Amino acid sequence: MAPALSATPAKNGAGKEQQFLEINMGPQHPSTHGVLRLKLTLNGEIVEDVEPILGYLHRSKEKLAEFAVYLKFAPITDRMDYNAPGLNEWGYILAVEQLLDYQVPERAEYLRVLHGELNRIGNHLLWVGTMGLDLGAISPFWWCWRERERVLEFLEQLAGVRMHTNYVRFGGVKFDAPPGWLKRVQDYMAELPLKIQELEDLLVQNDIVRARMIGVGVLPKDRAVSYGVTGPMARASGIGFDLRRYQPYSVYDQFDFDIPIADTGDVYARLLVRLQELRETARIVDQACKRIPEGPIVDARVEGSKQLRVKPRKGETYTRIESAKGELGYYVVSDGTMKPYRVRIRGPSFVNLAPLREMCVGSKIPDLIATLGSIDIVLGDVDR
Amino acid sequence: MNWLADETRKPTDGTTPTKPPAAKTEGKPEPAKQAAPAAEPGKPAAAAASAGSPAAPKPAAVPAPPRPKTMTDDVKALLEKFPGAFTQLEDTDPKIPTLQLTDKLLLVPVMEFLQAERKFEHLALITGIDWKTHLEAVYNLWSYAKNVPLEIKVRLESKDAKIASLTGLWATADWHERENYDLMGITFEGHPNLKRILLPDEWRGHPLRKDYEWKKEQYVALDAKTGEDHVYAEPREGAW
Amino acid sequence: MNPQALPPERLREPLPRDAGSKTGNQVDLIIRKEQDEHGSFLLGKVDQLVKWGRSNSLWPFTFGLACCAIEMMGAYGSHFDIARFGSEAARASPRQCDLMIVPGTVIKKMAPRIRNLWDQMAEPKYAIAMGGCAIDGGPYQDSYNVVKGVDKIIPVDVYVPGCPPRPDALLEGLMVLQEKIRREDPPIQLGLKG
Repeated sequence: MAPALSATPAKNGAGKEQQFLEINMGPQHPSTHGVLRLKLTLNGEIVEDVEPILGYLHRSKEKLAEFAVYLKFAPITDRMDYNAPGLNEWGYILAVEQLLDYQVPERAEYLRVLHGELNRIGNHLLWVGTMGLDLGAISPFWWCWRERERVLEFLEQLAGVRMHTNYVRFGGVKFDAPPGWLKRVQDYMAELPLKIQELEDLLVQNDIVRARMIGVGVLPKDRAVSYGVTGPMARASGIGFDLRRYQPYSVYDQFDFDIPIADTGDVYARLLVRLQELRETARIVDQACKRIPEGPIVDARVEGSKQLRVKPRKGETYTRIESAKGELGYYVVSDGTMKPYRVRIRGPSFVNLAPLREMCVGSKIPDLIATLGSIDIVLGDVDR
Repeated sequence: MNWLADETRKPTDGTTPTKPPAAKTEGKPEPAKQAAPAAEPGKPAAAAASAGSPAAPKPAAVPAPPRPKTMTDDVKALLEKFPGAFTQLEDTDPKIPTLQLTDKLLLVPVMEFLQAERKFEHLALITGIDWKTHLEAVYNLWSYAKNVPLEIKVRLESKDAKIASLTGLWATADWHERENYDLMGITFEGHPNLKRILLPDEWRGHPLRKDYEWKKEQYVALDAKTGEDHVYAEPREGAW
Repeated sequence: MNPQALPPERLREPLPRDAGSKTGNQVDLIIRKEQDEHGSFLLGKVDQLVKWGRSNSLWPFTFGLACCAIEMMGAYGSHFDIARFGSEAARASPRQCDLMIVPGTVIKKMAPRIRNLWDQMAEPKYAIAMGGCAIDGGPYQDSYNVVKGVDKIIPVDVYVPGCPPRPDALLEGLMVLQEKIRREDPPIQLGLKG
């Protein structure tokens, strides 16, 4: 049973009884960022209740994991958070590696970090672009996608494919960086902060953006903790937790980067946090390009087709990484065979979407759209 | 050897620590070893349950080195406060101390204790696992204050999997529990809105169970008048 | 005037698919197509004009299902620029579009809605199935919740393979569709009125 509405319809000016309007937003809608259906109960333009209805992209990945060998599920995990695919497969490979005994060489760790952080840059640029679209601004969309094309070009040079790179492997990575690639990425990381500055000049002090974003979609810190919110959305609500700093995996403990945290928990804070994260990510990529050592890119025991015959020991593990949206966790249950027994995925967007009702009840529809955009959901992650 | 099964565990086995084994902080779990002589030392108990209790001991080729049970402060405090309610499992993931809650009625008090006093503010994940003989609900917790994880497992029956809902403690439990109800068929008692979240409401069966017939397609149509979905077992006009 | 009401000898060629009978719209004016040189030349030019207009102003429907939508947005972006093909106005309302690009996996719950949206589009309308999932289910062959291909729901004109196809692959698909439109049966069926 849905909770009772907070208000009852008032009589209108002519003294007639009014009714709340129940209307659907989605699953096809320009602003729902995918196939999300919102059942809105409206009092004029004020949102009295919003019920997200999911499942329009439920591709049953957790069931598919049980059908084929471990490596074959990695490309399927790519297709969950499709704005930053490289991070999903890294999380999965990392989770299964807890049950294996392979040693990832250091060059491979750095390449994984580069691959992951480039994906994160792509995700945040995409988010700034589509956030602008939600507010009705088109320039951020063009600018961000121009930059995103540069990033995808680098990923294509590294892994052969722009999106869904299927690059991370057990015990390492699939391809080495081509000659000159590191230098090109490093040069771009010197350019990127200027582009971020352009975006900031356009958005941050803009009166319209401030009026539309400040005080909208507020999620206080205690509610954010109760809702299990993680990632940039949590950092914008004051939870200063980043898995890369406090539970470092791979070689993140060797990088020098800051974690942007805001206190207000509104849409504007999330914008600022993500813009700053773009800069910090550029710093990480820059440092990684400089410090990457020479060496093998995959553990020799599991090269080539041995990847398909990987047999983790019997056990269970819960491993999580800081994906572009938040804490992406994989609970992998292995029964000692070549196929997983159970893979449960904690999609950060699924968890981050839950407080939508609390953030939006009482606000107007455009505020709902701005809030929904600021959560940064991707339906592949929500529905899996 | 299924040393977790209630019917095989005898009181003299010592598998259930009635008081915290203070003398055995880092040592190997002796009582557990006696109860499971045939099992591989590194094999987690939960996985042993899935093997269906083989009568003969499995010939282990190369047993993995046994991992000591992690006795953190939180585990100690839990075992003190709720004596007899927990079985401490061999940690399958060495980074996460794992406890099996044998008395599932104590779930809400245990979680309240963990949230309020042991400062586990973050409920990361609720997982349902189908072990064919029984189900299992796994709760992964995380403490921001102390930067440590904890995992609590609860065993449930296959046919009638019921457990208390944690929506009163964590708002995030709402959607996790709905998803587990939808895909695994675990009923969470006390949940304010326990209905399917990913599949249409009329879907039959719980797909992530091992006995779900995934080859049998179900077809979804949209009711033009009400806007709700209808699910059919045979293909028909307007249903895909 | 309903084309079905014309006596058979007045109909020289089969009616093209966009004669309006599917959605119930009626063609206001039907003039029989003449076979002589002048008539064909004039009408041929009008046909060409109509086909030129249709193929070079395909307005796509903003309909993003899954990952392919990101590459579709890349095609809309400034680097690949679908606007130079005439697809400048991507509308959210199906009434205002004539091209439905289906990027992404078709889920059973979503399938009736796709059908609804397709039915709401006015003729002439075209569909491009973008990506492996829309063509035949893609990597999700064993899934219990995926419709294996959007052509089970709507008639597809062009299939663009890839997972996801690059934006330039989508643009090639668009060009193939434009070619298909140019080769279509004459869009205006001419017959004498009355």
